[in-house]
Amino acid sequence: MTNARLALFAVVGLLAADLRLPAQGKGPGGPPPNAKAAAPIDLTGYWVSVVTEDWRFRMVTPAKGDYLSVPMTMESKIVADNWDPAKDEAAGEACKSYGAAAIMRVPARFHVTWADDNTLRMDIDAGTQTRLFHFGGWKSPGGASTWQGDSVAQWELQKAPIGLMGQPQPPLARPQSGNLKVITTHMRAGYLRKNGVPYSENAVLTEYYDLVRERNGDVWMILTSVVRDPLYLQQPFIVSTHFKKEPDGSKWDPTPCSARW
Amino acid sequence: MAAASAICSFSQVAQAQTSGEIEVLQVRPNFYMIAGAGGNIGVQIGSDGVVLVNAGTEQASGQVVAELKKLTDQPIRYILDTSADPDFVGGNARLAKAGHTIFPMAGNDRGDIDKLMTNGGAASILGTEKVLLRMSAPTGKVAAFSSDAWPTESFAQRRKYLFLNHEAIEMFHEPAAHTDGDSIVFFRISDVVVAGDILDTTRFPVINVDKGGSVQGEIDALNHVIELAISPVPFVYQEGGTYVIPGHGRICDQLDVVEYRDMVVVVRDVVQDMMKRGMTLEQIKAASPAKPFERQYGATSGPWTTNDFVEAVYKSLAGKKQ
Repeated sequence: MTNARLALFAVVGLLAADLRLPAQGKGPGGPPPNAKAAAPIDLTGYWVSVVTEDWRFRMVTPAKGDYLSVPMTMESKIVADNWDPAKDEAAGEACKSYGAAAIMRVPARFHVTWADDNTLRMDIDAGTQTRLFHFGGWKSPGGASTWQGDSVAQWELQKAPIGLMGQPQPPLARPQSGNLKVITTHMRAGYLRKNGVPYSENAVLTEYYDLVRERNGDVWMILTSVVRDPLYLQQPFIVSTHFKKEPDGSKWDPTPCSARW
Repeated sequence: MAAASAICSFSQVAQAQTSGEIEVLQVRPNFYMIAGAGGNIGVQIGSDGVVLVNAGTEQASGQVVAELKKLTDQPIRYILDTSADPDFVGGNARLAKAGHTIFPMAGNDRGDIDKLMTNGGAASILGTEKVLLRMSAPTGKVAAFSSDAWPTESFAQRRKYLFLNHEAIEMFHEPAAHTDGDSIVFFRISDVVVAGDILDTTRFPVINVDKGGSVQGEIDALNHVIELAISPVPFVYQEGGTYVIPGHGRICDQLDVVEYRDMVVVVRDVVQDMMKRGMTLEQIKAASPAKPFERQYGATSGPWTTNDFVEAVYKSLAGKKQ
C-alpha cells in the first residue's frame, strides 16, 4: 500500500455522492436482462488520468534501479536491473509498459463505451490500447496471451436497504449503488513501471472501479488495482488511481507505445 | 510572551540572514520560524509530528535538521512547498529523509516496509502542480532537482487542506503572483500565515514574469493574506493578531502586509500612468517610480534591484495590455 492509496481513500470518503443511474430494465422484481441494464453506475464517457502523486514514476521514466514502493522479489530485481528499452524496441515489445497491469497508471485518456450489452470497452489513447471487460458467463478463447489479457467483470452491488423495523425492502429493478470489479488474467508479461519492473504471465490483476461526484459537478472515477504475481511480487501491489470525467473526446490523442518516452 | 520575544528578535533575524546563521524564533507555543537557512521556514509541532512550510536551501538543510532536533523528538511528517525556488525547496530531499511518513503502514521502524511506501517512507512533500513541473523535467531532459526532492503530492485546485496536530492547515494556490506556482499556508489555530515569497520584507517583491508571475497576481495574493489575517482589534495599540511569516525578513502582522500591499499598488499605478503617457521602459526606470519606497526596499545591486522590480511591473502590465 502506498501513501497515495491511503490518501485516495480519504478523497473517496470526502467525495461520497449519489451517482445512481435512472431505473431501467425489467419491471420491479425482475432481474435486469444484461450487464448494461444492470449497471449501478455509468462508467461510459471520456476520462483523463489526474496525476497528483507518484509523478516520479508516472510522468517521467524513472531511472534504472528506482523501484520504490513495489514489493519486488529478487527475481524481479534481476530482471529490472537488466532493463534495456532499445532491446525491447528491437524485439517489437515497446508496449511492455502498456499492459493491463500498468496501463491505468499511464498518463492517458480513456474512452469507455458498451461494445455490446455484456461487454464494456475501454480505449486508451496512450499506446493505442483497448481493454474489454466481459460480463456474464464469458469464457476466454485461449490462445496466446495479450498485453490486455482476458478481463472478467462483475457489478458489485449495494445490499438491499433495510426498512423501518428492520424489514427488508422489496428488490429493486436496478440496484441503488455499487462498483465494478474486474479480474484480468492471461496477460503477456510486461512492466509495472516504465523502467523495467516486471510482471509475469501468471500475474493476476484485480480492479475495483468506483464513481464519486464533487459538489461542483466534477465526476471522478477512482480505481483500486491489486496486482498479484507469485514470481515477481513478494506481496500484492496495491495502488489507487483517479480519473476525471471530460465532457467530450476533443482532447483524445492516440499515440503509439514508447519504450522510453 | 512567546510572541513578544519573537517581535523583539526581528532585528536579529535580518542579522542572522545576512551572516548565514540559523535562528529559531518561537512564534506561538507550538509554532516556530527558522530564519537564515535560505527562505524562512515555518515549523508546526504537535503529537502528529512536525509540519514544515518550506525547507530552506540544500546547503543549510543539515543545520535545519539539527535545530529541529533541539525543538522536538517528533519526526518531520510533511513539507509544504510555497514555491519551487531553490531557497525554499533545496532542502526537501534531506529534510524528507530525516522525517518519516505519517501513514501507519510504515510503522515506527525504518525497515524494508518503508521501501513499499511512496517516497521510501520519508516525509511527504506537498506543493502545487506548477511547483512539481518546475522541479521536474520530461524524460530525457535534466530536472532542476533530483526526484527525491519533488513533491510526492501535488494539487491543481485553489485550496488544499490537511488536519494535523489538531489543527486545520489550509494551503492556497496564488496563481500568477511571485510565480505561477506560489502557495500561502494558513494554520487556523496557531493563527499564522506562511506567505512564502509573496511577501518579502527585505526588498521589493520578486515578481518573476518569465515564470508566470505578475504584479496584479502579487496584489491579489497580498490581499488574500490580508483577508486571512486579523489585526488585534479592539486593542490595536498592542502587538498581536495573526502573524504572517514572509519568505524573507521579519515576522509581520496584518498591518505590515497592508503597508506592503499599498506599496505595490502605488508603484503599479505610477508605472501604469507613465505607460499611458507613452514612456518607454528606460524612461520609466529613469523616472524612479518606486522612489518613495527605495530606502526601505530598494537595491542598486544584487539579485533583485529596484530596476528589476520596476521592469517586472512594466512587463506584467504590458503583457496585460496585449
